[in-house]
Amino acid sequence: MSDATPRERALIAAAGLDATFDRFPAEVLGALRATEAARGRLVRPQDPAEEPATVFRP
Amino acid sequence: MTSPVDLTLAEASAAIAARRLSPVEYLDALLARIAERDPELNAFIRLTEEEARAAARAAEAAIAAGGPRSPLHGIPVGLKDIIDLAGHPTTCHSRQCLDRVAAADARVVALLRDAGAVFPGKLATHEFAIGGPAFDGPFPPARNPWNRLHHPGGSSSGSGAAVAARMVPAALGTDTGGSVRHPASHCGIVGLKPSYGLVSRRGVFPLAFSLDHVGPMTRTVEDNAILLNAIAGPDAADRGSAGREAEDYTRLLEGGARGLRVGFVRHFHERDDPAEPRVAAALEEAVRTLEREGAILTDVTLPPLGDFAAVNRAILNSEAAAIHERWLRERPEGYANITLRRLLPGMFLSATDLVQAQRRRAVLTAAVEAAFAEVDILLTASSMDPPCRIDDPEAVERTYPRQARTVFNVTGHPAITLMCGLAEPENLPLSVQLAGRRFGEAALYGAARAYERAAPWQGRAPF
Repeated sequence: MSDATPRERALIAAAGLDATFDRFPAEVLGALRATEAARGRLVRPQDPAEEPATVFRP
Repeated sequence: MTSPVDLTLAEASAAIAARRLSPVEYLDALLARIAERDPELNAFIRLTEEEARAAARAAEAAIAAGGPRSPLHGIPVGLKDIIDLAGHPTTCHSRQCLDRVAAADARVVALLRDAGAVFPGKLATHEFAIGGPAFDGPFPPARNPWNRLHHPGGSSSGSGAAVAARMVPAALGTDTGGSVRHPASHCGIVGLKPSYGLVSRRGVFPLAFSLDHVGPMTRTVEDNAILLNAIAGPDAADRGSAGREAEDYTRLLEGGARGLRVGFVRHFHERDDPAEPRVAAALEEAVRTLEREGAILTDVTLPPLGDFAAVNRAILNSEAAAIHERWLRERPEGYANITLRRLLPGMFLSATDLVQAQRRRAVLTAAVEAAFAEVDILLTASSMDPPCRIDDPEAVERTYPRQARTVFNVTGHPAITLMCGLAEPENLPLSVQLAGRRFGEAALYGAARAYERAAPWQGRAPF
């Protein structure tokens, strides 16, 4: 079963998940689509030079 | 006469010190409770009875000879099965790790062992602290002792169920997105996520390095502080360790709430992710209880709950994927299906997603820090819903993210949950979350104890 688009198949391959996709197509495709949908919910900084908290140190 | 299983940790400790209770007799009573109740609750995935009995006998002899060496001498403590206990498998509740025998104790276990604690067994968890409840894993999922048809919360589900069911007076859990406080909330007990870096994670299977915490789970606030006293402190072998020396976290327990400035983050459960009406009503009653005790309540506005959740998700998923990358590619069949579905998204996050999340994390952390300039404690919802049915996957997926606990994984502040109501007719606990200043655990416990003493929920048992 696969209704993955060519672009999605390319992203799955880039993630190294071809073999996983063969065995768990619904799970892999669902994860890819959920991640793309969630990406928009992450607020981006206004200042492109803002320093990230690369290592979290309280 | 009170059964030993009904004693709090502090009461059992006092009874052991006074030679009114033998550690062996205490352990036997708890093991009998486990034999009686665990077949229907599945809190334990492995008992270590013989080793525990030997430790209890040694504790009894040592206490007879020279008195207890700590309040935990002879006290059984349960361990979530992602925490290493030397000589026993740390399965992470996963087929991936059934034969992964720990060569050494986790740092927290070593500290508890030094304090004289006894380890009766390893407790169920959501697989790798992320995937559950799962019915296709190597062990069944733990059940809620208040109503076994319902979810006990997770991922430290066995820890929550075992403490609530009086199988152990205390347990350790871990918390990356709320996994100590979720089962504590759903099982009607007390769970603390300490400040990031206060408690070592060495020997604990990671879920997400920059969000992971080990935390105590108990039936009372006092017991929780006693357990934290034993496990807090620096560890050069944990890269996340803050290098902070342990304090006496019981010292402010009886300070009361008079003059305490409490910031109520109402918009989390009223606007951002509206709570079920019974949860909202219980939170209002908790606020009124603290006001009657002399606390000064003000409404506090923080960034939207969704911002914290998005940051937590991006960082957690990225770090977890880095840990599980090889297994996700080479043996995905080793996971329960729900675990596979929760781990795979991290494989599709980009480097820029992670950096943007880390940038936003700094802003969110600063916002919470700023709030603590105005108040001593923040009060928020824990879960937005009462525990759902454990066999209803749609309800599990819907309610799982409806919570305000990830906020403090993102920011690193300490946060504690405790019971604040009972949802009828299902007979299920509701809970409130209090958060404090970084490394302000003693003051946080003081606030939690003030609420606990004034509210009618302490001592309520599921059966």
